[in-house]
Amino acid sequence: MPVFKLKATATVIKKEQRQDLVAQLAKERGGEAISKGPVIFEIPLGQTNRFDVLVVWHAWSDIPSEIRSEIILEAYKNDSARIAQALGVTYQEAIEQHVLPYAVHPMTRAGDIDPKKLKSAMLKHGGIDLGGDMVHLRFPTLAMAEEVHRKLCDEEQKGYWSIVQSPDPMF
Amino acid sequence: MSKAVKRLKVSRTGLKRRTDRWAQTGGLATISEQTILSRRGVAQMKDLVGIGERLSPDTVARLERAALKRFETAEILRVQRRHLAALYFYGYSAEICLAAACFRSLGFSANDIIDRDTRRRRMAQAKLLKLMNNDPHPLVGWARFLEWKRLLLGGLTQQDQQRLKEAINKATLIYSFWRPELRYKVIEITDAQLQRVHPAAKWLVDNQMKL
Repeated sequence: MPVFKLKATATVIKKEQRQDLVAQLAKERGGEAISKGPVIFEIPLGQTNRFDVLVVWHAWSDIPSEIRSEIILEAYKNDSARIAQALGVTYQEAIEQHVLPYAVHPMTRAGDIDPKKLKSAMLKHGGIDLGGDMVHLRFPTLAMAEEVHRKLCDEEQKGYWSIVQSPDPMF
Repeated sequence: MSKAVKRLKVSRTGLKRRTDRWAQTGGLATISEQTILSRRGVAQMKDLVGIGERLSPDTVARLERAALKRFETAEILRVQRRHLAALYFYGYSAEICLAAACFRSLGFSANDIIDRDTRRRRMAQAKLLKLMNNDPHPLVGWARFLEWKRLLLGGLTQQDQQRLKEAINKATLIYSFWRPELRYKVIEITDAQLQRVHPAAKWLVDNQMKL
């Protein structure tokens, strides 16, 4: 009979790796955009002065959820007390968990606009670079999607953008 | 004044009245449709705005009240021997109790708004922590997420810890009988089955402020 042996695994994150992630996150937050860096959403909670922080980043893939939250809180330093939830997700997890349900889609036809220009505009407003010409521009709240939609309509081709909400499997 | 002019004045007044009524409907019905609806005593279009459009967002306080209301409804149905419907409501009561306790432990005060996006992010966290599964109504997941958060916050007595474990046990028991899909079913729920779910749901309602 075959013998199956499973090795006990636990993700260990080195101190340097952790510090590096904290530093990158702090930089991004400070306005220094890094290529393929995190996309940070600060979401105010109703009338309170607290907010949720949602960080979408491919660098989270090997890091347990609890440590991701610790890293986010560390990057926020003094502001961390106002954070109600620090949630780190990869883009795939964000889609699976429906935390980015509002998408801003370009409605262009081939030849309408230079794809590079389109990509650059989407990245500027928090688009997630999926390689090639593919960029997804998604948001955790409708208000955020509407704001970016408005900016894109002003800056780029008027009327070439639309907001689409993914169906919610919860309700 | 000739009869013709007088008639015209009357019809102008009538037209204004009907136009005003049309404006009240938000312009949704034509004047003639609205006139017919009003004459028949049918509700005006503005009254027909779906309840879904008028629901206020959740808060911890509202969830706690809703949990109690669902439990009370289940109790009435149990007495009337409508077992399946009673079970259906006991399940929702338990789910709402646990969700309310979770949000309270996550720092939401009684009247802080909990919208769908906020709720979804909390559920995402619980799933990434492997405390909750992908079920859209994860009773046990809420109980486990609650325990995790309370332990993280610290300062729990042994009694508190025991109560949180008990909440997981009660949720597990209820979930072994309850599913939201029950609403589509006509299966027989026995008295014995309901006798197991009822005390568990009652325990959650009785203890919800201590969780």
